Amino acid sequence: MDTLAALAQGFAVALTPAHLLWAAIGVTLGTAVGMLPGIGPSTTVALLLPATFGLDPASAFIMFGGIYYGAQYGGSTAAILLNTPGEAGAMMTAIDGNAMARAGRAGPALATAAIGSFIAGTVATLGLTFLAPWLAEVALLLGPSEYATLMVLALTTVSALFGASVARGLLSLFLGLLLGTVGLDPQLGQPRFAFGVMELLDGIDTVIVAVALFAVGETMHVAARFRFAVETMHAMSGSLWMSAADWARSWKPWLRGTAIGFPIGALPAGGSEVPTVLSYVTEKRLSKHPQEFGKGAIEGVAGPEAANNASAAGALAPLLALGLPTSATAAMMLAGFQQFGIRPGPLLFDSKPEFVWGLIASLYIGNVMLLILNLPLIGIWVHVLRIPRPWLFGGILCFSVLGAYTLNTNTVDVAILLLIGLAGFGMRMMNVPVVPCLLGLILGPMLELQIRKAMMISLGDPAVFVTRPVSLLFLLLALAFLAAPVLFRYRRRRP
Amino acid sequence: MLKPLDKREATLGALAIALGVAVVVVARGFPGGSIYDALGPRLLPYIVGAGLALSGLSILIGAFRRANEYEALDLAPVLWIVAALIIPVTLIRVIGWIPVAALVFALGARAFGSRRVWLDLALGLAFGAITFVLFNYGLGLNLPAGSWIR
Amino acid sequence: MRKWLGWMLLATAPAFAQDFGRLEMIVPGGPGSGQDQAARAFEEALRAEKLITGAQIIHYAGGGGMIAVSQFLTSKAGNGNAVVTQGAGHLSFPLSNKTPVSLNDVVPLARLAGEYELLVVRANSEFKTIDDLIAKYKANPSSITWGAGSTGSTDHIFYALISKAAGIDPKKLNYIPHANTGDIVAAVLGGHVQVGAGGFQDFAPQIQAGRMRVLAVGSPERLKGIDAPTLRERGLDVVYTNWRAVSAHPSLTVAQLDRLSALFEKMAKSKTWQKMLVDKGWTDLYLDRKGYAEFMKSEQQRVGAILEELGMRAK
Repeated sequence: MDTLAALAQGFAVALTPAHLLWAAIGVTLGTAVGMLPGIGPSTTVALLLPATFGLDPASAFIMFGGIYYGAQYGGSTAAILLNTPGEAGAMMTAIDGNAMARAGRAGPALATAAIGSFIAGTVATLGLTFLAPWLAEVALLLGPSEYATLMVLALTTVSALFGASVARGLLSLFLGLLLGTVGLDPQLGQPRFAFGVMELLDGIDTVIVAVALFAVGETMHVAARFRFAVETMHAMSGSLWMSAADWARSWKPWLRGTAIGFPIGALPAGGSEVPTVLSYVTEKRLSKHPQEFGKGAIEGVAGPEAANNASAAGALAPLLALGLPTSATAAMMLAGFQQFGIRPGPLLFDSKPEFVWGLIASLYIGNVMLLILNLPLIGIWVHVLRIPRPWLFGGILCFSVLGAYTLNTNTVDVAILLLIGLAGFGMRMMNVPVVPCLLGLILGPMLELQIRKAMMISLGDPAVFVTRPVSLLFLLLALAFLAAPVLFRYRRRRP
Repeated sequence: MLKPLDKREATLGALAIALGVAVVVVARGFPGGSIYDALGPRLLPYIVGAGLALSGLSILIGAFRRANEYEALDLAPVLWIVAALIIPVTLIRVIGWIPVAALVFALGARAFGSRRVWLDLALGLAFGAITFVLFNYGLGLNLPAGSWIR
Repeated sequence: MRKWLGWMLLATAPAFAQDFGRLEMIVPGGPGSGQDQAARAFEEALRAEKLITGAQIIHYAGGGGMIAVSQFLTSKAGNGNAVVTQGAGHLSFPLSNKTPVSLNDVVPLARLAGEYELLVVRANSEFKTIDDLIAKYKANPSSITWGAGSTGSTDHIFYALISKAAGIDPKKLNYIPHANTGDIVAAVLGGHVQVGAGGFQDFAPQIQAGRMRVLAVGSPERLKGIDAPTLRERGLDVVYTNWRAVSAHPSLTVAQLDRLSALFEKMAKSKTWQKMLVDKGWTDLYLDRKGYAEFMKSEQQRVGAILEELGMRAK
């Protein structure tokens, strides 16, 4: 088999001690930098790119691979330990991941994240090897109406996170949608709700809101209660590693997350949040313990982590097959390739196959290195939670401020951190779920942009959403999702 | 005929309604769509405003139906945290990151009852210094050193 | 005479570096953005030519570049070693959005490099030549979907200029904005929009693979290696570039300004820079202080007028 032989050769090139060392360095640097909230994987790659100058291409790309995966894992680590998701893809991980950490199960949370990422990376690498060109072509066929209905689907799934009160859930969602409208309107460039503040013209960054709602809001909530409640935060209850039950509950979410993440990651306008959201909601729907979600269900970490990693790999399909960077990180990788005079494009697989396979092998090695290096570190990370609470939360606040400021180097973001943090506290106080707000912020602008684009292309004809087959499919799935609980209840009543 | 009124619930509902109305009012000032962009910048804000108001109404009505149990909350620590966050917003460009980190850390710790002010400040200072060196020299980013140095 | 002067300038370079020291560049874009890449290119060339000892790059993304300008104004007063980089988009942004500052608040120093805008279609598009496109557009303006960057961006202005040159009211343009180049390429390849615009580098891999064709270029003469006519050849008098430039603080003395502009002049004329341009596929668009200042004025008028016609001019 030609492809496998080529891949094997790629591995042969990649697996030398020197190269492995570069992979290790890349992973370490990537994880360290990826943990910082203001610095997502794309910025991490951008910042660490100069570190690869002067290296031969093979070593440089292996280091890239390490940085790439390391940055994602760093974001997840921060999400689990500190509730400060370093990047969009880690937001869903923070929900149950941090809940697990506070219940003393940071070890299993980190482990399931690492292993899930590894498995997703493995499957996705295979997927890339065999499917990249085909997947990239198919991805091109999706236009604004398909993206719009995909966003509709994603938004309907948010309803699964409302909890007991639909009104509160909707309130949270609409609040998020409101935050999403702040900034320049995507079509006409009309400033909305910016009130003359220049920094708001680009909208409110989702990472800031995530850190504000999760970390700051939670910190305030814990602070307000610690005089009364005996809330002990266990550093570790039970084993550091995953138990048999944990494994049993994780392996299917890993696979499902990969299946969801990989194709969506390949879509040009997919974004990295949609796969993780869909994965989280899918796991909640399919789980035997749905009530645990939000309080530390391991599936809620396993699925999204796998989805995140798979979608990052998926984003490489259009990059390698067509030269199309579909995410900020992919764009950085592209810049990195160009450093070495390599111009990815439709001809890359034919003209420089050894580069492609070498790269895929390098990325895979980065993924393996991530697992090898990070699993032992879990023991150390868990000790972070042993820090006395005043210092732990003081540190979390410092971390959050650091992240908010360095994101765009402006103080308006820190002000937003404060205001949304207060809102997050208020929401917790009033039992309003926090996650729908974040998801409204993420999905709203995408939905609006795509709907308006689709309508402009069809010259105002809304039928386009149902006449295009994939678009119709997503709409039907959305309806099915909403109808499912009603149907199940009906089914159960019949004798 | 006075049903028990859950004050907090009612406030939440009222605030939501007020916000929804405000959004619609502000959005009326946006231009409408263009010849191709029939929906225009106003549509989503209108929907959001309506959604906020309706959810708020539902919550407000619910406030008259039942009173919820709320856990006791002490707001003083929250004020310490607010203070901690106002510091960087106002002062980070003036005094630079390192002192700001010290203050944020110490105020945050104080919110959780720590009385060891000097130790907390020292720890925060260390955090600030380490991250300053790492970010500015290691990564080439720009944490401010403070305009008071000039 | 010019050559001799050039050699003399270059000969003074090493002494110049020690003299100049570190250059500080404020960049209106995040790490990895187009502006950032341009700034790093400047740094590389200046360092290779030993004109500076090093550079510090400070990023302020957002606000259409005006946040960076604003930061530059407040923090670099009197600093003869600091410049703020900019691009064509930052000239047009304040014209369509009310911002507290604009490029007029800083002193133009030099225009350096960029790319000419061009029109692309996918390989099997119904439009074989630019004339086909314009003919269909004239017959039925709403039947063509034009895709490119955000509303009010350089691509949008490019299309509007073309529309005006063809005699059609730019408001009739069915412009579809996209978030980034990748989206534009995907949209054109996938047939979701019919025309795309940008620089050659944005589309080079697709063109070389035969999946996209260039219909026309917005340059004064045909571009080397691109088999497409200029818009002027086809009766549409449109020349438009996506350029990068640098400006200095308004508080500097004439001596300081001279020093800074000499620095960039040396860079622009150096071998390293010229080679870089070839490697990166950029066009040399060098204009000195006076030239750039005049260009800015005329460009603001041109862009302002077209934005007015689009109904996007900020009041």
